[in-house]
Amino acid sequence: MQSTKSNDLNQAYQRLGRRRLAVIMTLVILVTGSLFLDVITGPAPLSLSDVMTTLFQPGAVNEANRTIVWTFRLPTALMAVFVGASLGIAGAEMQTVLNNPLASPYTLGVSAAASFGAALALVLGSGTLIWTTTVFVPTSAFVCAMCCSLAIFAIGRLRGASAETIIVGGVALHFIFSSGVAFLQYMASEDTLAAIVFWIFGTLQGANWHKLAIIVVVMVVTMGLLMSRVWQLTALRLGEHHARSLGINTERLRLQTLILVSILTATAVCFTGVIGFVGLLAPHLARMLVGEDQRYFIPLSALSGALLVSVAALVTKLLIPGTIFPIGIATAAIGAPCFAAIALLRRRSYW
Amino acid sequence: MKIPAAILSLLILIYAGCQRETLSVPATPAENPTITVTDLAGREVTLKQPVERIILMRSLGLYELATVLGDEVEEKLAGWDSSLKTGDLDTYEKFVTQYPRLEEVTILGDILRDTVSAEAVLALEPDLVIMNTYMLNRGSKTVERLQQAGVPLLFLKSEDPFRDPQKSIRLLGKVLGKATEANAAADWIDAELQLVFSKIETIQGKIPTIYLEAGTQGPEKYGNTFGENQQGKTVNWGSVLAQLRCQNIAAGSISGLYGMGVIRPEYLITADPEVIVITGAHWTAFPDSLQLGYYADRDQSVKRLAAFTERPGWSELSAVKQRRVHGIHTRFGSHIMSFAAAQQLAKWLYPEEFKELNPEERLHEFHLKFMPVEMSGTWMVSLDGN
Repeated sequence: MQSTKSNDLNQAYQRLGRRRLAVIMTLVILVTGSLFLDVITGPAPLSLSDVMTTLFQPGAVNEANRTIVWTFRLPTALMAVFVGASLGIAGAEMQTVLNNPLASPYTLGVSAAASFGAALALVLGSGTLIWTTTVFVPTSAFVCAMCCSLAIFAIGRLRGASAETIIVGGVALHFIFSSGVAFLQYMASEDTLAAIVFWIFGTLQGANWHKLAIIVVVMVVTMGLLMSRVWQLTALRLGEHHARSLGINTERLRLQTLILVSILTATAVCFTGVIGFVGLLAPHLARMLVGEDQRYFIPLSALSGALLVSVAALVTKLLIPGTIFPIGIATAAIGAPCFAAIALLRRRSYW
Repeated sequence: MKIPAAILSLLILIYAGCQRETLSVPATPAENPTITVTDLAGREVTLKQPVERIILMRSLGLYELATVLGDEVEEKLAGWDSSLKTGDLDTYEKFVTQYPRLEEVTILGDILRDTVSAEAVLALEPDLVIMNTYMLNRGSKTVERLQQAGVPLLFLKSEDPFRDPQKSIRLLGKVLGKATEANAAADWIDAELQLVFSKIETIQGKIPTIYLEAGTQGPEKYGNTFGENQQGKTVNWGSVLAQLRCQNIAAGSISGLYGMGVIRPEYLITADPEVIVITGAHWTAFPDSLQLGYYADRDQSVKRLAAFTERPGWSELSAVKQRRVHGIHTRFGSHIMSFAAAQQLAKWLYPEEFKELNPEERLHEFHLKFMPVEMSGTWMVSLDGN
């Protein structure tokens, strides 16, 4: 009797696991499909076979095709995927450790801080001839984003790192940096203002293999570290007391995770600018599909984020082939209705 | 500290009020002569004569004012904004060096960002406030308030860079009592443009393709290119290219609010334009930009221009292979010296047909004849160093 019951349970658990794996596989296929479409479309009239030849036998095609596929399309398409994945993971873990469905890299001011850093670099650009703007701007954005994270960390340490304090501190920092950005916009000359605005909109242009490598390395390391804590993070969602009674040092876990995702966010946004809504939407999609089990939740958040940004990149390219359209506008425009649909259509409360 | 400031602003308010009163009182012609003109926004404007205190709402429009006023620009300019200093530093410095008082001219806010205080404008007691039609239709509260306050606004225009600047200086000449000088300059420019257009119309054969980009952000980041705006109108460089018998590769694909946007590099590589033009200026905020203007060094500018051709994929472009990559001053797309843009672009597009034309020399002559400052520096460059 007892053994049949546990057998049933066991089978049910395995079925659940298989179902979740199937969901992940589906998303992997979708992301791969989107990436593929992203690489084969573009203003240049390259046929599918042209692109394939360029991809697999780069030596056999002319220089122009090689440049188009290897310098422009591939890094940009991959950048969309990995930036989306980074933001998805960052959002997922922020929501987890802060126990708040509205947490995302925005909420804690990390994106605002990065914008402030970029704007500051653009405004001060005149005096600094040591570095070119292309190095100076992302560096400054990264440094500011990390400063913001450290400030949150300090607030957390000071006040005992409860989720509420961190959120309140983060929101306050968000507004401080936002007002800083507004001030710099007010001060900036016309051309600088245009550059700041375009940075804040977010763009995948300027993607190259070096930047991509940095993002991939940071993402893989962060994801690895987070995956090594999947059980603790899952337990955290049971509630503070439950997690503690399971022997988890929730304060330390919370702060360590925050630092990890801050680095992840800062790395992603310092190259692309602010890409809106991914960090908020991706975890909700993932949670709806596989629930809170972090073993599936983390990879699926990454995949949802990747899919969202990749599809947004593809859509803007198809709609406006000749011009660079800010990707941040597209992700928010595509993401917000999805977000509302999830909230309205879901049959049961999943948070 | 607070109380004196409050008193001061109160005084200014009272003063401004009085100012408004005196302006609206109909003056007797004998004591206070006035002139009524229709400005380029189609408004009727009555101005006190002679005009002694001028506010230039966008200092980038200094070229037109200086052409008309000559040396008097130093004493008559009472206020302007900082757009010349940030967007065209060489010209700012050229004028400030020659006319040191310009450095003390009151800097008002930016009209395009609605940060101009109407009170500050009134406090300067202007006889004339020079505006531009692009300031309209932006929902600017300042323009509205200035109009309500009875400030003598005069709208100039720069939508069509080959016609509007002449209209602007003719109008300025009329209200500033310099009609002869202004008309002479406008006629001279019309004749210079005629040199280009009379010939370009006769040219047969294939229309060359061109790509023009503002070199603001330097080689590492693509700057804006110019197509047409949402109403299908072309302005600035978009208008220059549309009138010059060439195929602007951005014309069909770039259509933002102001007809500006950043091209997709892949699109550029595919379109493979025959001529590439990068525009330059002295932008203080962008150290990598293409530097051109009164103090630009030719060798340095050529080097900066060459750096653009090292962008990924550019080595394959025919324009780069045939060294048909050029640089030109970015403000030529909108002001009185745009005739030089017409001549220079025509020459770059049709080197054979315009062999005889020397735009640099024409620009020099324009300075000798009509500009109060001397011509210097580098305004146009080509990859081959010319």
